[in-house]
Amino acid sequence: MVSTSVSTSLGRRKLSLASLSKLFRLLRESPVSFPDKTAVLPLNPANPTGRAVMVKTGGIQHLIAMFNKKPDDPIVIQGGLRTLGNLTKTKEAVAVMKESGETMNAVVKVLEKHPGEKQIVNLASGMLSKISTKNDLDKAIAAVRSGNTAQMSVLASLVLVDDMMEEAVKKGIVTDLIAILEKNAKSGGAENYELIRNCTTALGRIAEMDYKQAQDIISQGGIDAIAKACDIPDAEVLRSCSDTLQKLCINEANIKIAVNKGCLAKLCKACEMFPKDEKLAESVCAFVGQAAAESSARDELINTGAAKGLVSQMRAFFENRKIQEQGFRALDHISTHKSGPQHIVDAGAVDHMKELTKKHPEWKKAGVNAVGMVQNLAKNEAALPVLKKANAMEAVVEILSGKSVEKGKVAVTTEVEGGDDIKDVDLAEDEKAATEQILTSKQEQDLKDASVEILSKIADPAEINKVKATMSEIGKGLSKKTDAGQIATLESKLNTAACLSLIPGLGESILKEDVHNQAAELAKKVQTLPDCEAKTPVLSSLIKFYDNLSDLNNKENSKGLYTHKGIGKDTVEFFVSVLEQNDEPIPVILALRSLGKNLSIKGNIVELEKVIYHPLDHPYVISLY
Amino acid sequence: MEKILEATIKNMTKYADNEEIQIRCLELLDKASQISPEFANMILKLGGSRQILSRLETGNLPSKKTAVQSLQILNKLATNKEALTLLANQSNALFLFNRVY
Repeated sequence: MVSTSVSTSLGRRKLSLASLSKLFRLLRESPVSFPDKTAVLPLNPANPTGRAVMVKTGGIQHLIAMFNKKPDDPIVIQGGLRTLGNLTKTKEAVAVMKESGETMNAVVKVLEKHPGEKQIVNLASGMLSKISTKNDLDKAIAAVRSGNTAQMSVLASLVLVDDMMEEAVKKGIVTDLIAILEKNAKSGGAENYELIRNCTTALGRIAEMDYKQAQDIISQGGIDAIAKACDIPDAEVLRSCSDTLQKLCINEANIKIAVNKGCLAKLCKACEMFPKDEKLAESVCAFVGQAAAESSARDELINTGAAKGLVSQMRAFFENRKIQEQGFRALDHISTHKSGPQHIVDAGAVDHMKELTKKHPEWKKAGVNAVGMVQNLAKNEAALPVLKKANAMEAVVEILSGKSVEKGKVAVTTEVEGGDDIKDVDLAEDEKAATEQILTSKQEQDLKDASVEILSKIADPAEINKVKATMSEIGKGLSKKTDAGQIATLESKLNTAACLSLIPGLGESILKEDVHNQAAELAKKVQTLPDCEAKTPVLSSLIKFYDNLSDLNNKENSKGLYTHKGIGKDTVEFFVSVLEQNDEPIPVILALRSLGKNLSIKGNIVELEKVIYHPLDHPYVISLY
Repeated sequence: MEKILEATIKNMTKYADNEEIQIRCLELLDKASQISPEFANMILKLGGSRQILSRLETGNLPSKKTAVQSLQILNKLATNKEALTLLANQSNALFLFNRVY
């Protein structure tokens, strides 16, 4: 009997052909989407048996039915497309898909529904490359040219496939698309919105393929046509315009053209027109963030008061990471304009930054852009007092101390006969998002430099005594039962001390004030605590404090004091105790990282251990103790 | 340094499946082995090399990056005949025997 091993959240079972058919029927009838996701996971591309069973039992039809039933559910669509993609590894499945044409129609509809979802677009274009032919493209081009605009969505989808796009461009499709867009955007009837959207999307996809195509579209008047479409009061049309403009505005000259044609102002206005449309806001923020790098775009943004609109969208879609990243990117650029700081301060961007960094310290890219913005604000005399009053220092410290993205989730895997594991689709997405938030060493260094520059202007030296007092007060009563609020305060003060130690002058003050003594006591106390919620965050902040303090050993002004106070010895003892006594991975990673860093710094090696002098091999290793 | 190296090697065992910890531990051993022959010797004697070898032999490494790092460390440790003999004794790998004998 043909069977395949299916792993669901309920356990692993061997399913026969008949029971798999039943499973598909059940899934089709199920009102919830979770089982659909479960159904698409077990089909491992490495398992030919699984593929054969799925094709025989109507799996292709099931997936297509599922697309029609839940067209808005990205999890179902992604899982379904992945499974269809796996099935195309067999000739039989490809033949079935090509023959009926249903699969291509379903994929085209999916693309039309989710034009901005990168994952879906990638999966769908992969599918199309296997099941579409040049004949399909010729038919679509001929239909569009003869006025059959229903075929525009097929054409817009087919140009996602490299070969098809090249062929379409060779046949002069760009001229057709621009002419169709121009004509329909002018007439502006609601019945043409779908056509305008597909046409704009097709142009964007062609532009994305290479620089030459983008320039060709511009030289043929593509931006004029899109600018006309930007007047249409439809959120989806406006989003497709914004998406395509991002692909066309790849250099300063192109941005200037878009600004001169009024695209930037129109799209900013569009967000006010549709304040609840998150996808439109996401796309427009990305476009503004990209365009604002050019000076005429910044003038336009200042003239239209765009900062206020940007901040209000960032507030409205607080949980959308991309909107925050792109919004701060735009504000960072705007802050370089001579009137920019005032606009940004008036728009309430500093308060928003504080709220965001408190809630999402792990969104590092948004944090980096926000620090860039504050760095420019700190250079402005009018904005500086606002930064101090709003206690922007707290937010900068939070960003620089940057909590890492939550890790340690156990991967959900699906076991199949072939023995290979497929990671859960969502988990793979989570991991991707987490990786995107990891900064490169250069970005980290730039962030550190910018933060030090800001803090040296806005930090209050009196903060050192406040830090000492908090460490002493909370440290004394620190126990397993200490409440989360106090832990957060202690963590924040430790992070502040760590950041202040980087600032010339304040670093020496921290040494003089013997803040390290409080830290050493706190370190001993924390290490005696059993595993509890307080332990990891306090340990992590202490490690960062000692790590930053060790930099003082390399600065001429503080080197002597650092050695005199014996902080190097304290640091090593603390780090070793973290490595030996701790059961949580995060402090171990941080301690190892700091030790590794100090091993790379010539001056700090002596602090780590008494070593024998090897003048020939390692002239810089000298014993201090 | 001995304490640091000892604790690092222990954490390599304790968090065998945590790629980031493995990378950090290997980085630390790598840097230590470059600073002084004493440290390289410590890594050999404290069982750091043994740990790396056994993981290479069993294929129990969390990623390609850690595999590359492991080989680089072994290369830096094997600087003289004594170190090679010690490594060969800690390992079943024939390539090490070939270098010694």
